[in-house]
This record gives sequence, structure tokens and C-alpha cells, in this order.
Amino acid sequence: MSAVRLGLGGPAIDHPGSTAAALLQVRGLSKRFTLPRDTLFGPRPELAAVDDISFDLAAGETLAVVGESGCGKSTVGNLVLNLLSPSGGSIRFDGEDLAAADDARWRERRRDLQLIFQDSRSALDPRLTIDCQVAEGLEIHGVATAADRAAMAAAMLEAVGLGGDLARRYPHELSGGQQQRAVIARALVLEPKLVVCDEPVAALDVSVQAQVVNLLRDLQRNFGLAYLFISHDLSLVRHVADRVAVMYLGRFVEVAECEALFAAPAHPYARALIGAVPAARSRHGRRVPPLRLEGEPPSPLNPPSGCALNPRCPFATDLCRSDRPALRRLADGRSVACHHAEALPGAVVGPDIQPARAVS
Amino acid sequence: MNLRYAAIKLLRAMLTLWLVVTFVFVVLRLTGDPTQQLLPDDVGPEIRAYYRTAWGLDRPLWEQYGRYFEAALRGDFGISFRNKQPAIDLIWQRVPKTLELGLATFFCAVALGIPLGVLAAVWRDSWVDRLTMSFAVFGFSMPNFFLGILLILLFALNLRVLPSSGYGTWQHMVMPVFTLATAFAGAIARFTRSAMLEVLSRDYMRTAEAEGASRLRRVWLHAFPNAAIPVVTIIGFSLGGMIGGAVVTENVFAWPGVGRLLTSSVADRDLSIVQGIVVLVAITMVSANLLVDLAYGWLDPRVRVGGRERSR
Amino acid sequence: MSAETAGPTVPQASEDTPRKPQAGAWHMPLLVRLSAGLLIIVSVVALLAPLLAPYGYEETDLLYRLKAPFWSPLSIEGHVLGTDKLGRDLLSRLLIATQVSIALALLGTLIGAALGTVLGVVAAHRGGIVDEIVMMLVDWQAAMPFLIIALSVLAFLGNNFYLFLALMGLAGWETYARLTRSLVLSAREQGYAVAVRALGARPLRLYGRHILPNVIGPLIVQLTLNFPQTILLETSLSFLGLGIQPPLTSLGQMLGEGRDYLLTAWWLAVLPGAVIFFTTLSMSLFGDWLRTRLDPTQR
Repeated sequence: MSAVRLGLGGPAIDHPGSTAAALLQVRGLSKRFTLPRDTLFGPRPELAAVDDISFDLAAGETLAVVGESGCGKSTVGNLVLNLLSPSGGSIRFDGEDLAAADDARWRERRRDLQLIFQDSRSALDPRLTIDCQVAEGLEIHGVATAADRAAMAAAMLEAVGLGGDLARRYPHELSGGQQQRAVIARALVLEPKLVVCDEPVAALDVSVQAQVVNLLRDLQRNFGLAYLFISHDLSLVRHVADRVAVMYLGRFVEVAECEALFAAPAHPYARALIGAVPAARSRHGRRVPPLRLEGEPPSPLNPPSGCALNPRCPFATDLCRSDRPALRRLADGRSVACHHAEALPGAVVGPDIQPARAVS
Repeated sequence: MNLRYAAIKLLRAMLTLWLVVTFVFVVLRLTGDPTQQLLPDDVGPEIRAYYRTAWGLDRPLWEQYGRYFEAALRGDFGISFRNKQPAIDLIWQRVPKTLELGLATFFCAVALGIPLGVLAAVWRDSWVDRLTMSFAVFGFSMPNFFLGILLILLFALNLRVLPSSGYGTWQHMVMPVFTLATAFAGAIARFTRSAMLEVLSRDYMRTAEAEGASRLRRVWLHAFPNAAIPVVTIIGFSLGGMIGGAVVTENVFAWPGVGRLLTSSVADRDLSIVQGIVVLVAITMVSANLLVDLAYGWLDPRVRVGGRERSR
Repeated sequence: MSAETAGPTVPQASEDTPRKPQAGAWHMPLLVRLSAGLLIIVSVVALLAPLLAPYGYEETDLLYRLKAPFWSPLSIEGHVLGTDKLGRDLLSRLLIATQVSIALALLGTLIGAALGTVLGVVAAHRGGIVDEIVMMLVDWQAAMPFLIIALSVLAFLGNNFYLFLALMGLAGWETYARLTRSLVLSAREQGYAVAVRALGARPLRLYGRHILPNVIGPLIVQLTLNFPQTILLETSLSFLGLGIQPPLTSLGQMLGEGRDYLLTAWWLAVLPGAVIFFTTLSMSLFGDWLRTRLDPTQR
């Protein structure tokens, strides 16, 4: 499946707020999965897991992608890392168009683009010791000599708190938190510029979660890492993110500064999502007005016409049922994909003068 | 069962047959000049040249392939150089005898294997179970040529109750059928046992037990019909092993079937006959697999399109 | 179904890495011990046959033909198991035949395993048309009884030792290909495999260093199950006179020669047959035991 450029890339000037020096520029990214036919000669059903997503990520910044399971947020991470090939759109990393990169170029670039998994237990090869696995990335990229690599791996493991004897253990001999530290060490020993963290602490005990999150933040400060932080855990996201993108059924519905979003989510879906978190209070101590959505998310195989949220949204109008709202920029800088974002009861921001496609 | 599933299976079956026919053509051409292979050694060069023209060997390869393929579709595999008769006729003469052996084996193996497997599952870990599993391992490990020879030694040469070889009366059938059925029955018993064990452990069996259905009733009315689906499959897939076994067994007991014709033709390099038999076996196997696949799709609606669910 | 589970990269919660068996699980029942013992003896014979054999296996002595083995009053000194129709020492022949049969089956099994494993990995890695072609070949071979394929190839190409060895290797490759393909497909989606890809590893490193070592258990079990089948194929063909050709000998070939003397010298056929039977039986029992140890879900 080759990546088709949709022509949405354009010059950065089309996207107010995006800096020319953004580390990662994603434009119009889409991923469709083709499923087997159900009849002999019928069309193959398609499923749009990710649909026309654009965002920028600066060096040292953390962008969180939140949403319910199945909304396509993990797919975004896999697409950015080219673990899946995009169906459309473009990804520029460090000024290089990665859609044009071949396999060999990708293997080189992987040094700068790393991944931290949710399930740290399965993320480690059960047959190799931890230090061996941490050194492997260096080995793959031909960094230094074997002895230096071992020293670098040991230093990295030390930095994540797995010094000495722990480094020479096999994965099953470590606790869940220690395993996740090993996974982090393996990703970071290559000194990447961008790390995709896919639910990095979801599998851990609550007590261990905080330690690992703090470790991630310390490492970000020390190495100047950018994180694409994928999570369903909003209290965690609030703690780590600079900006947050809310995803529903394969599309971004709101992209905003973390604090602004949690204070006053503009999109009805973001309101429902954030209103459900007990700790979500605005700066003035006022609770975000809770919003209940009816029913279940529709099947991505058969999305509703117009706004994907319209069957569940209490504010839906005929416009919402016929036209799909584009992501547009509001006065306070956030982007929202809702026709009525400013007019909704309790809206905190007015319209911006110029419409924007995406990106804060 | 949906049409797409059936259509894909049919297409695959045709493809397999085409591959076999093409394989025979390619291997035959690989060996060099077919007149060397198909004509006796003592014919002169002018006769060879005549046949080369007659068989179209001077034509381009694709045209030869077309002719060969068309002839194969008509069942024409050439003339046997030993008997100077069309290969297909010689093969057809032998088919009923092999069928006789095969059908008798099939019924014996099923009649023995299925009850043994069911009983072994019902009385798990009892002596019946151990006996059945030992029998299965024995059947799997015993080469049928050796079993046949042991039988001949015991019943024909020492006890003198059965004829050692040949064809004709029911006594002639006893030892070949026993030889061939042993491995087959063992495999069926083993598979039936594990299918039954799986079914017996399911919830609806516990429900039937709780409802007070008698043990016999539970096994025959509830468990067995459910275990039958995988058992049908393994019977279909064992056919290949049985055909191979038949070739050896027919040789041990001098049974005048297709298998014996095949080995003597291989030894004499009577290639027309070998070709014909290979294609015949392929047709048999492909039809049997197709029937099993279709039966499976029909019995079990969960079978998904294009799935390679079968494991061996 | 969620959008994510439709994608091909989502890790399945399948637990196919062999777990560490508890110490007690390696307890060997008596039968398995006997099998292992017999297999060791057979291996020693296979390795050292020419040293153990009291005579050359081709050494004929027409004065002492068809002599009886030690248990018969007609036995003669120097030939423990008697002699065959050409006066060759049966014990020596049996040792050499065991060596030939075991070596052929072992080589054949290993060739088949290597071929099938490589094709299975390639099919799983490349997918698409390559996968279709490999699986079509697998289906094709599974659809034809291999004995028939082997016989027709021997008929078309004539018999020689290397062709025969190649046939032994082709027998059963498809079970490895199918098994490897399915194991690799599920292992590829495991976190560690995705992680190694994300590190930028080449396919050779991914499969050779990470995936294959993690799925080697079921492949080794398959090896022990295929080995007896390969022995049976070789001995069947040799028994039919279409495999190993004199002057070389194999267990099947000895048995085929011996069947003409069933009435007068039954041991000529029965002794090689017994060696075949007990070897395949031991291997099957041992393989079964190994399989239940490595995979508790299979009975």
C-alpha cells in the first residue's frame, strides 16, 4: 500500500500556529483497512481507522492523543512510526518527507523515532537479558564498539533505575514497573528526538505509574525529547501533556492547550470525555459541566453522515446531520471540529476571524 | 454455507489438478527426449524421428503443452510400451481391485476406530483408553510392509489358515485389509477420542448431565454428533496416507491393483502408465478434499471464507 | 469490533511462547525412558556402525549361505545373526543398514525442516502473492500422497542417491512451512517483534535472532514427529526396490530381500523390520512426550 499524497501538505503558512521548525508535521494522515468481501464479487468493505488528521509537534513538546479505545489513537502512533503504512497524507520529520523514504532509509531514521509500549512484558524478548536488549538498538545502528555499547546500555539502565545486577536479568525476572523501565531504556539509549508512548503506564499498578511518568518527564527534560503520548487516562494526560488532541472515530475533534482544554472543553465530545473525570475542574474550581452522550460509538465500518457524533450529541441540528464539520480555529487558539462550538450553552470562547484546517 | 466459500474451494481444487498435470509435463520434459523414455531402447533412429513428428515433439514447447493438456483432459496418456495398449485402459482394469481393497479397509477402519475412540474418551484413563492409545501408536509406528510380512509368516506359513498372497476369495482379502486398516483405524480412534474429549467437556454436556439424561443418551445423542464433524475431516485427510499404504500393501500381498501396476511401471520406467496413475491419484485426492471441505462448510457454518483452518 | 483490532499490528493476547515448565513436568515415564534408551543405542550404532561391524557388509562367502543365528542349533561360529543368501554377515549388514537408514532420515528431516522453515518465514514476512504461492505449494503437496510423488519422480528421473536424498528432504517440508508461517505470523505481532522492528532491525535479525528462537519449541516437536515418517518413507521405497540400491543397503532394502526367504530364514526379514519398528515407535513415544511437556493444551 503506497502512501498517497493528498495535497494537504502545503506550506506551513496555511496552518497558523505551526512553527516552521516543528519536529514532526503530519498532514491529512489517513489509514483505511480493507476487510474481506462478504459476498462473492461484492466490494471489499473499508474501515477508516484514521481519517484526515493533521498536527505539528515541536522538539521537547508533549502532545497527547486521547479518546476511547477503538477511536484510532494507537493507529496514529503506528502510522507515525511507519509500523503501518498510511493510506494517505504526509508525514514530515525533521524536515524530511518520510512518505518518500524507502525501507533502508526508514531503518536509519528509526534511531530518532522510538516507541514505548503499553504491554512491557510482551515488548521484551523473553529469551534475552535486559542489557543485551538495550544494547541491541546501538548494535543495529552500528554505534561505537561492542564494549562501548555495553557501557552505554549500562549507563542508560542506571539512569532508569535498573543498575547493577538487575540489568543482567531476563524479563520474566523483573516486576512490571522494572520491565517498563527496561522498555524505556531500550527506546532512549538511541537518543531519539521523538518517542511515541502508547499507553505507557496503563498496564502498571497505580503506585508504580507515578514513578514511571516522573521518569519519562525527567528524561524529557534531560534529553529534550518530544513525546506523542497516546492514552485514555485523562488525569495522567493532564499531568504530562503540553497540548491535547481529542479523537473520536478516527478524527481529531478538538486540539487545545492542555490547561485550556481541561478548563473548558469546547467540543461536545471533549466535554463528555472530560466531564466524566472526577478530578477535572477548571482553574476557578468550577466543575466542567457534565454532558452525557446517548448510546455507544457507531461502528467505524458504517460511520454516520455529517458529524460523526450527531446521533449521540444533544445539540445536533440538521446541519450536523448533513455536513461534516472541519477542524477550525477559535479565538483562544484551540481548534474544534463542531459547527456550533461558540453557540453551545456554556461556551467560553467566541469565533476566530480566520478559519483554519487544523493545528493549534 | 456461502457460495463464495464453495467457489474458492472449487477453484483451488482445479488449480491443484492443473498443477499436477503441469508438474508431470515439466518433469517429463526435464528428463530430455521423451522418445528415449517412452519408446523401447531397441528402436531405430527413423522410428524415433517418426514418433517425434507424430507426437509433435518438433513443435514449440507451448504447443506441445497445449496438445499434452488436451490429451490429458481426454484421459489419453499414451501407449504403454510394455503392453502396447493405451495406458488408461490398463489402469482402468486395475481400479476395481484397488477399490475393493480400499473400501473394505475403509469400512473396517471406521467400524473399529470410531467406537474405540468414543469408548476411550468416555472411559478416559481406563484400560480401554490405554489399549486404544497403544493401538494408535502401534499403527502409526508399524510400517505396513513389515506388518504384512509378520502376518504372512504367522497365518500363511506357520498356521496355514490363509493364502499368503494373490486375489480371488475373501480369504485373500483378510491380511491386506488388516494390514492397511491398522494404521488408519489407529489414526481415526486417536482423533475421535480427542474430538469427543473436547465435546464432553463443554457446557451443554454438563447441562445434559444435570438434566438427568442417561450416560448412553448423552454420549450418542449429544456428544457424538458434535464430535463427528472433525472426525469426518480426518477421515478425508487420511486418504492420502491410505493410498500410499495401498501401494506398499498390494506389493506385499501380490494384490493385482493400481499400486502394484505403479511400482512395476516405475521399475520398468513405463512412463505413460505412471503419468496416468499420478493424475488419477490427484483427481481422487482433490475430489475427496473438496468433498470434505464442502461437507465441513455445510456442517459448520462458522467456517470462514479463505480460512486455512485445517491443520494436520 | 474496534478500529484498532481490525489493523494488522495489534498484538494478540495469544500466549504462544513456551512457558518455563516446572521441574516436575520433566519426569519421564518408564516407557519414555526405554524409548530414549533405545534411541541412544540406535544413535551410537548409526555413528559407529563400521567400527562395530565384525565383517564388511559386502563381504560375501558363498560357502556359508543362509546360516542360522545364534539361537538355532544350526548356527555357526563367527556369525552371531547368521548370514544371508550370499553368505554376508547379517549383523554387519544390519548395523550398516541402520546407519544408512538413520542418516538418510535424519538428513532428509533436517533438509525438510530447513526448507519448510525458511519458506514459512518468507511467506509470513512477504505476505501477498509470495504467501499465496507458498501456501498453494503447501496445499498441493498435502493433497498428493508423497509416496506417489516420490515414485513418479524416481520413474521420470531415474534413481540415484542424491535424488533420493532430495526426495527425503521434500517429504514433509510443508508441515514445517505451515507451522512456521502460523507461528511467525502470531509472533510478529508480539510486542518484542514490533519493538525490534521499531529499533530499525533488518528482517534477518528480526527473524533469526528474535522470532525463530522464540518459536523453536513447536518446530523441534514437529521434527521428532516427522522423523519416523521419513524413516517409513525411505524404508517403504527401498522395500519396493525403488529406493536405496545394492550394493548399498538400508533396513527397507534388507527387508525386501529377506521376504523371499520367509519360509526358510524368517529372521532375514524380521530383524531389520524389528529395528525399523522399534526405532519409529521410540521416536513417536518420545516425540509425544516432548509435545505434551512443551504444549499442555495438546493431548
